[in-house]
Amino acid sequence: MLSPELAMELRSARPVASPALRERVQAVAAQPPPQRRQFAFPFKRAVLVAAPAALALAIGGALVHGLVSSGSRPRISAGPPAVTTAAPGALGARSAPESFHGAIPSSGGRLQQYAASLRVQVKDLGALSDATKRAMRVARLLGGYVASVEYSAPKNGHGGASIVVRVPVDRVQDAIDEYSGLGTILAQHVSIVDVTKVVEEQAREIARLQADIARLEAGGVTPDERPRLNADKARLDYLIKRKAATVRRAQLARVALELTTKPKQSAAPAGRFDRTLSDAGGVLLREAEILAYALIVAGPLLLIGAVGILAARLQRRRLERHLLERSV
Amino acid sequence: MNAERQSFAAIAERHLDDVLAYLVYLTADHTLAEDLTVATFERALRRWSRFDPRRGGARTWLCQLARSAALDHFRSEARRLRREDRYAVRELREVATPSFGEGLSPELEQALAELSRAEREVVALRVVLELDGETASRVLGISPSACSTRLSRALQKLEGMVSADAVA
Repeated sequence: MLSPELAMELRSARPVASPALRERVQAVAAQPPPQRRQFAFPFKRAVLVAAPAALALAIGGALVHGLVSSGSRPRISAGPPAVTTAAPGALGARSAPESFHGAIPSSGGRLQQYAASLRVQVKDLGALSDATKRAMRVARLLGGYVASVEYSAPKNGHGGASIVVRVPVDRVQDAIDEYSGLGTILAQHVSIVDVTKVVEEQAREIARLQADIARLEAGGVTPDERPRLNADKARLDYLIKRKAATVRRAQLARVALELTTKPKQSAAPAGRFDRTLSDAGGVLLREAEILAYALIVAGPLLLIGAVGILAARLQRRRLERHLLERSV
Repeated sequence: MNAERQSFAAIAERHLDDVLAYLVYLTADHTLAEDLTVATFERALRRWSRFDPRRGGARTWLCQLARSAALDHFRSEARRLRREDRYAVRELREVATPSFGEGLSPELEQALAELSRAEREVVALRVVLELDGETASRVLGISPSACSTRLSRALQKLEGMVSADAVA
């Protein structure tokens, strides 16, 4: 520590301005101060104001966008639309109890081919399994059989089953009633083709061929007639089988049942407040993406600039230190 | 406007000796210190509208401006000397014997002359102008502890040199 005497000596001998210097400084002080600039852009204050203002603008804009967009459009659920597409001639979607009642006309002794298809929706995968098993059991109980079954029940997703059964024509109405009761009917289709005339024509052709064959065999078959006889027999055989198949098809109706589970229930429509927040969040996210992109693009340049400024400042400080280390 | 000019004139009158003393210690050259004092007040007049008494007293502000003017001078001098060295036109200059005030003992004058500019300026601010540590550190642009350390070393050197001279 400096001795009081030394300190006193330094203070008492402090340099004093000469009259000449005093005059020079007085002359400077007597000058009018330069006019203050009308507008000096305050960068620091501008940054302090602009940064919160930009943030407020971004959030405000997002909220306004959220408010506007949330009120202007309804939210559409993501699930597939439950559209019922009825094939031409279909009877349309009906509730189970009233479906097909009295829809299938009585054959009245005629041969008719019945075909019916149903699309039924069940509650879930458990109901789908039960409905599939029941559909197969019903076919057998009605005296028919199951022609084909395809069953698909993924753990997470949309389950479905496709069943084709054949049941006696006189029990087709019972089958349809049973299948309609498995769930909600989405689509139905029934087709009836009268094959009485076809069978009658086949019967006439068979009779003609049988008569022809009998006549040839009764008179003795010459080598020239042998090919014709063989052809008639082959044709007869084919027609008999064809007629039997036609009659069989007319006796058993084809019923195709398609079972589906309900599409996943879409979330309850969000309230306007939630939609506003969601939309505003989306806009903010987009703004953040743009900001991040701008930073990524301009970041290196800003970094180089900052490093340059810092280096210049450090160099300046180093030079100052060097200058001040000298005594004169 | 008139009151503003009056106040600047009053402040200049009040702190002229402080600014000069600080610059004399910093430059160790009375003539240069006088020129820099005038330059400081010219600079102060130009920036008078930006002076905010709430951020520090007028003396602190003037000392900061004086320091800035002196550093600018030192830098330009260093550039000039480098330029002259490059073209080998530098002449031997006669360096005036530094004078830090009327009535100082030759030992103290010599000891002050041997201190570095940084050490002399902290002595000027803390001992001669009697600024407190915080204000002096603000003028120097360093922390109060660094200012205190620098002052302590400067005074130690000063005492040592004065004592050695007295013994000799």
